[in-house]
Amino acid sequence: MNPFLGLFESARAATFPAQQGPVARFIFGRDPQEAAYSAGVEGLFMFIFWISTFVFIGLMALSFYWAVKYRRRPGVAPPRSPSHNTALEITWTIIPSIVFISLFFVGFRVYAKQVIAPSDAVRLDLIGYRWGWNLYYPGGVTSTETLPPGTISASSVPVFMFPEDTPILLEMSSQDVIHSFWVPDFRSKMDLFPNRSTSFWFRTSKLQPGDMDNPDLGYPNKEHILYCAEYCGDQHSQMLGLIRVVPREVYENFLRNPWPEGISLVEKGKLLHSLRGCNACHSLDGSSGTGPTWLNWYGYEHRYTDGSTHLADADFTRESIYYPGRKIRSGYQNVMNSYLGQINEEEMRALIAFMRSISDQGGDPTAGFPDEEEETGGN
Amino acid sequence: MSTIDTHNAGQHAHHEGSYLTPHGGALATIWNWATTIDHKKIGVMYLFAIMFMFFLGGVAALGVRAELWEPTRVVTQVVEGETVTSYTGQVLVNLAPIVPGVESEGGVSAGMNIYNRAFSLHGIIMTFMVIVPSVPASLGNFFLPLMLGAKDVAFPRLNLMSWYIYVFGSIFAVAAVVMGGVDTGWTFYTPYSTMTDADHLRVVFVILAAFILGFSSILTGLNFIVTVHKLRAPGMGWFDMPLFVWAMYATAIIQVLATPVIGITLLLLIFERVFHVGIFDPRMGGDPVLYQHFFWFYSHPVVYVMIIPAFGIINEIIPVHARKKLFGYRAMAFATLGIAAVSFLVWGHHMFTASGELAAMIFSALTFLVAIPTAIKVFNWVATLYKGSIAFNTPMLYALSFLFMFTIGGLTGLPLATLATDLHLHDSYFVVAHFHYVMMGGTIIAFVGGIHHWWPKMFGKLYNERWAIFGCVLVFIGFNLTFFTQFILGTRGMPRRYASYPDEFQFLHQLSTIGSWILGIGFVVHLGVFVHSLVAGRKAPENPWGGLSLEWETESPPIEHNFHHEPIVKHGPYDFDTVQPPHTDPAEFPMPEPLRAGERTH
Repeated sequence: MNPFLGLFESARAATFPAQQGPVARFIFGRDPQEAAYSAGVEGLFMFIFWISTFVFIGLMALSFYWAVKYRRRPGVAPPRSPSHNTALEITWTIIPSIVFISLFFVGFRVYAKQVIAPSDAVRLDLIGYRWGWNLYYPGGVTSTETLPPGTISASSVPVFMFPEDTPILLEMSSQDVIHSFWVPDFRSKMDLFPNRSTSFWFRTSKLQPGDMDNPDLGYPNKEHILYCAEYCGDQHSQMLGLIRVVPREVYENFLRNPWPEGISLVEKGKLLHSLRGCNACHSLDGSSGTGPTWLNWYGYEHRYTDGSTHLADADFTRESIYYPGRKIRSGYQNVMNSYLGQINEEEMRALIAFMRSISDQGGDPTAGFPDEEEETGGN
Repeated sequence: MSTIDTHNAGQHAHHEGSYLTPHGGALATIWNWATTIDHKKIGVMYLFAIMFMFFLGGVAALGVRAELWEPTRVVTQVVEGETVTSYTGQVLVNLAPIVPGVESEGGVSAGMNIYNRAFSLHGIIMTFMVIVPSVPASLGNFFLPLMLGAKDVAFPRLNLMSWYIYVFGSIFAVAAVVMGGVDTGWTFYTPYSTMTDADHLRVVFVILAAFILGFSSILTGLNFIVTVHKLRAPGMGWFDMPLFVWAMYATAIIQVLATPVIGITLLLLIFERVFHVGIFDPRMGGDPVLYQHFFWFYSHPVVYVMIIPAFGIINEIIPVHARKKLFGYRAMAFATLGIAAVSFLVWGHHMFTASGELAAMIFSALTFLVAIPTAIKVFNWVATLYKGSIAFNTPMLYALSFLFMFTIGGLTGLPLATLATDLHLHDSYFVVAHFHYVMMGGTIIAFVGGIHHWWPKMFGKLYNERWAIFGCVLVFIGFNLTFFTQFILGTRGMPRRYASYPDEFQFLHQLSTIGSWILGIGFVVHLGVFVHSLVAGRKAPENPWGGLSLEWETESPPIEHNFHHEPIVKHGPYDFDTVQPPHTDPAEFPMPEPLRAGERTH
């Protein structure tokens, strides 16, 4: 147990007044989410801002005034003036010291609220990878909705639903390099590491009838953009997410039936292509990215770095997703992580169906999996 | 009142040419410069090398800003069956042929690939090849011995070697760029830096370059420490030294103590990349946060290697051009040493979002300690203006610009040192703006001001004051437009190192990009002023500004051995109220009334 936890706990009790003036709105843009600490962070920033503005204007006005008043006049000697004043120098050492020490303590108090989650918080797992996020809800449910490319990013962006007025604790880790979870509306962030867990908590706001960030949904909602804030490679700037705060019944309904009603296997596969981050490396238009395109992949023979060729059938697809290092396509490097344990059987079938649908050798994707079924019998 | 011991001048006077006098033909002159152990020539060679690297880094910066003109340059996803047009490669078209895979990959990776390489290139060049060596290696090399009244630095051959090491290291870095550049950012954070471009040696080359450049830093620092200790002119005690020398001294101590740490860290990184020894990469059993500790244990003190020399320049410019004894000399000297000492204890504030809560708390508290001596310095500079005789020429305007921008840079450090607000601002454009206000608005602005201040002394030519002031105004406007907008981008939620961004940020990004053009034009104006001065400038007098430190005693440009006689120091460097500056006309630089009996100025 951290012996300093008590210190943090006692600091947490304090609050910092939130400021909502027009200057704060200009500086921060959107209102802070009611994350129990966001308004405190903003208030503290504005407190520092006003002190700094006061000091800055004072110093600059003085410099400007003196520079003009005592500007050089040819042939005129400068007046005599002191070059040292102990009392003055001690004063301007002590006053800033007091200000800085107070800033530290106030900053620490708000920080304690940022890092200590309430014990009744809903715990969810968040995994970051190049270049996307996977959020795991209770029962292994994951997000099933994306914003289409071009909405807030060039790529599609996953949508993560959260119930209103609830403390949420995210247990986070990374699959590859360091990422950082930043929702500017929450006014806080935390890094994700490949070798350790970190956590981030926030409280979703209580929805008002007027909260309609997405008016098409038909129920009150608030949306916040999630950014990756730690540079992670080529598509760092496409590693976004959309956090959508929804009424509790919508959230509970989503947990029971995560997929939209009547969705076909192919459509589901297409969604998974962007939800699971396949789109970061595998294009659908024939262009070559970090990995080979999925267009006309299925049903064709491809050449691999060990010199062999292989027919891309259902079993080979499965192997490539679960064990990506076994066969590496010629001209590419093995940078893909294994999806073993992250993609269940239903999702795998959806992905295969989608790949078949965008290959002219895929046959009728709605006609089942003849080749796979043959093999299954043999196992 | 004279500084030079003149009573036996007749016996020792011998006629000696300026250090710039050519030796024989062109080839002989080049050979003479290439093998010189004269600190002045080495300083000038450093100056031109650094200016060239500044140009390269600046071009990369303009490219980065140009890419950010539009929110989403790179769209290759299929939208409803048709591919959205991509602007890939248009802006940085000349980089495209050397970035591997741009042609073949096309689309989504290509544009971002170029962008990521451009910002990494900008960061690596500006940090390791421009700002770290800038002031000490060029102006420091030239003026530290002159200000001490010495003939050269303590180890002139070592000094020449450090220049060749700098060039050698820079060649490695440029080679890596020609091979295709790297996309690691200047911080080389693991495990990304051990994974990216795995089939290439480019990353290793750049890391090696930074490692080699470190030696140049260490040798220069060592040289300066010994020079200050051993080669001060007779009569010059520690507190008679100009504050520029104090700044060089404090900088040198940090360089010698901290640079070995980054050297070892970069070697470990190369070991991990090349020999797969697990140190930082978790897949091999390492820890990426360990790298961050090692890296910032060097790189935070080095922030002060970058800024303390700028303090030194401002400490010279303001008293000379305000004709006023610097306010609080001793406080300034101790503040400089204090900053250097505390700089070793604050590295953890780069990891508030990465390390434990207790560590974050301790480092936040320590970070505020650095702010105290920094605040004292700013107060002293402002107080020095009081009752001065202030000339509005280019060096002084740069010093006033420095006060303006460095104060903003310092004050915006407060919300970054404060734990709660840093969690929001960390890795956002607010941080980008903050360190540009300190590193560029501070160091580069002071550096350019210092070049103007000492230009007549270095080259014996005056520069065109009107055009230089015009350049200074352009730089001031361009800089603030470029970077002030980025504070607001940061608080509103724009993450750094993003090639594309949501539309809401576009207006501020465009303002920033326009600012970068004005800034670029400002520097081109300065370049023109320098070239014009070298080609057609009027001859400079020995002491155009009425300075009191020893470099103004000698000729402009200085003779090969700096002084005709070893100077003996009889007054302080800032005693403008009691000493008529050497080589000046009392009508042009009149002195205040002498003190009446019993009267004190302080």
